[in-house]
Amino acid sequence: MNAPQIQGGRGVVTRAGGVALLALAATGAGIALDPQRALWAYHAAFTYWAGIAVAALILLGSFHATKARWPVVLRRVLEAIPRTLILFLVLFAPVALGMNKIFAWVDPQGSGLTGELLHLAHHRHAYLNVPFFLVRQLLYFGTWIVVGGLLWRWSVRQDAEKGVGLTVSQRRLGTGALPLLAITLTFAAVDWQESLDLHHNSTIFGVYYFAGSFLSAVAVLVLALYALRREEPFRMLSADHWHALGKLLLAFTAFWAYIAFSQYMLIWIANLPEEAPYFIHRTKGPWGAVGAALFLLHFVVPFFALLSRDLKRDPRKLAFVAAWQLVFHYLDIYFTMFGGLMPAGPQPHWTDLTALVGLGAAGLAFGAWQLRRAAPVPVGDPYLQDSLRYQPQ
Amino acid sequence: MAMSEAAAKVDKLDVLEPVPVLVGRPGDREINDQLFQPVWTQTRRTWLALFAICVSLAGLLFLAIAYTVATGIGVWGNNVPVGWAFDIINFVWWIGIGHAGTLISAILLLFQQKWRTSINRFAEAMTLFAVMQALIFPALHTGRPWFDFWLFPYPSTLALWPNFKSPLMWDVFAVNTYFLVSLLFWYVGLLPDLAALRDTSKSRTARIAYGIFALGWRGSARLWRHYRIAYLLLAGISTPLVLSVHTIVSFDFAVSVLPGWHTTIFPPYFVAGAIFSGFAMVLTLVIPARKAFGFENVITGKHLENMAKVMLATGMMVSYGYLMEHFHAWYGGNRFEFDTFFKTRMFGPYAPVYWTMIACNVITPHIFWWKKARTSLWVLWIASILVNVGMWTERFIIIVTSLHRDYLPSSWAQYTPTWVDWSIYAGTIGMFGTLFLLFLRFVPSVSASEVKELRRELEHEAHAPAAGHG
Amino acid sequence: MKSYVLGEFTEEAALVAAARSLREQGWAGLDAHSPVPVHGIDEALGLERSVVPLIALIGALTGTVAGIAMQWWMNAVDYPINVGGRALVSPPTWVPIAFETTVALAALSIVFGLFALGGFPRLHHPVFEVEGFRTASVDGFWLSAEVEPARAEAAAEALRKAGARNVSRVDDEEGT
Repeated sequence: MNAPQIQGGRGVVTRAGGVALLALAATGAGIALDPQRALWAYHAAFTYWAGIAVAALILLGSFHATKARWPVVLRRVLEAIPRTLILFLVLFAPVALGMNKIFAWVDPQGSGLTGELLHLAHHRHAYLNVPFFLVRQLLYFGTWIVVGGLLWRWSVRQDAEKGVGLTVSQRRLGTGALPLLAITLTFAAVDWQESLDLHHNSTIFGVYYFAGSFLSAVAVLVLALYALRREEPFRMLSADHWHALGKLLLAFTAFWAYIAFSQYMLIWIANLPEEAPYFIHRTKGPWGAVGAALFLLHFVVPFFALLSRDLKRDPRKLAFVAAWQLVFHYLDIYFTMFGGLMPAGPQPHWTDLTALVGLGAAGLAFGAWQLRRAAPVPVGDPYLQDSLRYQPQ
Repeated sequence: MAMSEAAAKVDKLDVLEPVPVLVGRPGDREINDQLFQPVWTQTRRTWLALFAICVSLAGLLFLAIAYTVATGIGVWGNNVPVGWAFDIINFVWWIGIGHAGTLISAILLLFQQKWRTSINRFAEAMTLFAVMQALIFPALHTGRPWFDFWLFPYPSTLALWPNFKSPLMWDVFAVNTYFLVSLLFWYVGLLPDLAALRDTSKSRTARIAYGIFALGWRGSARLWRHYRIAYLLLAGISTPLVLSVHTIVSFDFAVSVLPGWHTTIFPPYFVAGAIFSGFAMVLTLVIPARKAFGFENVITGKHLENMAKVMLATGMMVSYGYLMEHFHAWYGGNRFEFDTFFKTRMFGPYAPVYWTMIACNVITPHIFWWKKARTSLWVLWIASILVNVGMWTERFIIIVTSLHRDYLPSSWAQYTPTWVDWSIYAGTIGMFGTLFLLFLRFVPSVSASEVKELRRELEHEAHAPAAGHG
Repeated sequence: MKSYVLGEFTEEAALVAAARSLREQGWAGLDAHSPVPVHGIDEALGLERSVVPLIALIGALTGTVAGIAMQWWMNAVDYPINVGGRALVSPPTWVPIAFETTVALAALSIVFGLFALGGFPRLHHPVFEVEGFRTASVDGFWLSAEVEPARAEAAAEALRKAGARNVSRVDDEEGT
């Protein structure tokens, strides 16, 4: 079969690109006015979007590892998401250049660290120092870009070449890369988030960042397919496809809650001076309210909504829940990062919004542009037919 | 479609998945005949020999328990500061083994993995018997097992209630719930086969015995519709249940403030370890059993390969847990944590156990990157035993090394198990073997009704028309 | 007194067609018996959606509420226990047990609900009087009708017309 290229995408690319330029320019202005606060905002948005892109790559790798057939029809859209990591490597520049403003450990004395925290910063110097940090970032992005790039390239090449050889290659790489992706994402979580709050010392934290990002990656995929649902090849998505995506959302909503509860309960109950401070100001006052909101609105409400079979099979309702979870994942990132940086309570800043929108729009423009360069579904995949007639019992 | 044409289509194998989950397309009666054969034939000599060995070991278990109860748990090696030792190691080990059964029967059902069908009953039986062994240890470890009912919240004349803030109470609820739900799930899954056993029995005794357990199952369509949804729902609730059980077991350690015990990764890392060891145990048992019964056509190379892959994946998750623990032991800046991980465990008196753990759990699973290893019965079987050993040593390392040297050197001590410890441990293996052999003898170890359904699904797939977007 | 009329089919499709045809002719008290669930039989017999999910939900919610209430009342009200200075009402510590009671009650209600729906245990049922009915759990597909004895012959005729073989009749003396 020959699926047509996506027709409607050009407007998305130009409009999203325009929004991205404006919003990022505004964020740049914010950085000039209030460097530290605006850089924090930028860093939070970066952590949010880049994590989603990496988690999408992990989702893609998992589909290959499990030889899943049902998602073949939506795989090209999924493959386009990690492509944005090339862009995010470039957009990491402000974080790299503004490190001394973002991370207290870059210059512990200058940042006003004292006592125990100063001691911790010195203790961690072998890991938390600027050159090693930058080398690690290159390693992470290098891994992600190479793995995502090869999977994309082989998949696109298969459109013309057909055959099973490239399926084998993709499956091998997708499976073999999973351990590397898990480790790079974990240490990215340590570098980007955990190291911001020197009291934060939690072995589960990499899994926590993964859980939220993965949930959001599924949400982004649902929203992308929802936006494309009237395009020719995606009209063939059946209620069963939406149902399967809905089950993934449900499972990872529960998984996020499980990981969040494990981290919270264990730190709360042991009450050790070196780690309890992380939750002390995150469970009291305004941050306590944010935490409660996360529990209710990022877990309880969407979980019970997603239990409904009818909701999962209705693209409009499912897209609504996906968007909802995407919003609350940002709140989760905000809670994790700013809970330590502003212990008294959240102090929203206009650059929070411009950075979030700017980086998101940039990712959207780049991803949509990539998607327009290839067939919107992997037409050469031997399992495309199986995917189209996916009909579980 | 004519039958020959259908058969031709079935035989056109998928180049990427050359090994099928079911060899051939046996008819319903053939499936029954083959899978019920171990139940209806005479007891075999090898079975009797194995049974004799297992029963003797189980006898040792009862002797050792009787000695322990009569004398007191001072006959065990654990004492201050190592208050938890063999009993808790073995408890966690057995519970963990049980988890693969639930995973196979519940989670793979939800994921519509066809390869689950032929091994689920086998794995669920393993779960039940493993949990039974696990329960023996904490029951004895209370010291006065005749007061174990104090663990349950009942309005007693003592006028007090259990402390629900204790993870040990959480354990009581988790393990009992787990046993209960596993038993119900297994039994509900057995009903159609029990009815078939009743209906194919030759003797009146067998007919009555299986008839009682079949409860009067008539394969009624009115009931099938409830049954299917009930079975799916049981799978649905078993999935979070199995995660919760090992999570709660991990809480036994992680809520404390002991170096090497208190760490937030414990819940998912324990769950991964449990599944890892459980799949290893399924392989250890299934490889000889399928050979003995000639079940190679229903438990194919594909099943074994997939189990090897699950072991590879969960083994790497366990390694990830080790990596995080070690990294954060340094990163956190707590010297007691650092000493536990980088001195006591690696180079302390139990270092050989630590390095055995690393060899078995971190290195062994990586041979499964190679298809040759995944398809060789001997490699699979030996690796599965190594993993069982490795996961046992992991619990030994967690429990004993953290307890024997924590904060104050003045309260450091060595731990050595006694012959009673070893006897109880070996005895539970015998007890487990006894129960498992009885299961293999009296219950069809592969679900006939589900294999019949599987055959229908596979036929349906082969017949399905192309979606017409040529 | 009731009579049961039974007939066997070798193919599932024939069973479904016969069930549909008999129901259209106005026969009530129909049931099918098969070793595996038969695709399309629910529609053919006009069966409604199962109530088991509802039973499960009620069981689960009861379990959650009971689990939380038990821990709160026993440890914070009836016999307050101070553990390491933690608040008497510490919801995080309730989560594990409340979860387990939820699962346990849900499972018990699913299984015993299922047994109740099937009228289990009922070790002896009149249809077991038919020797050939033994195939219903192996490879036979049976259709049964529960009728007044006076109409039993007509039902048997209808079954034969629909293509059934081994058509048999059992009279239930106890009149259940």
